[in-house]
Amino acid sequence: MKCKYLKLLNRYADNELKLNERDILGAHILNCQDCAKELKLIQALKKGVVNNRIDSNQEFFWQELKSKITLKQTADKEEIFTLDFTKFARKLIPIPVVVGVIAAIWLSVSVSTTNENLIDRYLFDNVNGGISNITEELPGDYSGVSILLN
Amino acid sequence: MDPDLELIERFKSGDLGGFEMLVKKYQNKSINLAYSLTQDSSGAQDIAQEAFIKVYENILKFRQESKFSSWLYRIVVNTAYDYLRKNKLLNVSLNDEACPEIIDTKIQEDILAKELVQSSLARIPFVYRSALILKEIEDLSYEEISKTLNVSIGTVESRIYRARQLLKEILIKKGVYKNEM
Repeated sequence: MKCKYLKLLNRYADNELKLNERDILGAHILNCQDCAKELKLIQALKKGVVNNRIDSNQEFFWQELKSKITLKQTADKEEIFTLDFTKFARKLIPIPVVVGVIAAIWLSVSVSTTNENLIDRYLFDNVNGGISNITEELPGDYSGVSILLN
Repeated sequence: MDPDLELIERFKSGDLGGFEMLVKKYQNKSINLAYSLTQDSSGAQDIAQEAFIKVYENILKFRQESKFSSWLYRIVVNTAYDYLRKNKLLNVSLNDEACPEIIDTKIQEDILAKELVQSSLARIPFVYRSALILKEIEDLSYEEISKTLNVSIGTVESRIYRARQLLKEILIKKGVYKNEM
């Protein structure tokens, strides 16, 4: 059966226990083979992870970093200009759309009004026995209207 | 006053020398942290530089509620995570056979050499790896790691525990360590 103190060994190895807890666990480890073996592994792993250093040239790193920052700032400025232009262009996009919609509405209203006028005129002329020749007076084909009414 | 905060104040007031001193103070720690997280020496330099560029750009957002080093390490960890994600190196299988083979049935401290532990480390999930590395490479306390990673101390403890358990599992698979409990 596993020792109940095994889970505390990480905190022991990482020096995260209070002094009295550390003393108690330290005394336990001396008499517990499971804990002693696990602690040995944790300490070996700690060594293995730490044993890994790179030392870079400070001046070279700094100079390279400075030039990267300068490059990025230049790129950001260009991006700001591009973004501003894009934003401006985006603001302009709705204008032709709105104009187009208004024109379409105006056209449809105007066509339907013209058709209604044609129908009214046709009915008026026929009811009163008039012989008004609509086609001569108004441009457009109203033959469809007469077909519809007949 | 914290010497880092003095340098930050100098930098905020427009003195680039303050930033230069911060970079020179923390560059090796940042590179080593990035290297431990990625196992890529050339990538580690780039990650550290990218992290310092983020510091440069966001220094006004640093509210001095935590230590500068904790803030910087968090940026390095996040930048390393992005680097691994972009290069599709994030989810390496624990069963990956690229780990060096050492056939030995008895645990020996010298067998758990740098190369083996390092290659095994690269195979454990990033969240566990980052907590363990902040402990071992930067020698941070659990509390400092919790501030750096923005998680609770209990989470830090369980991540470090899990990281070591996973390393142990890899070593058992490799035949380096025998679990006789």
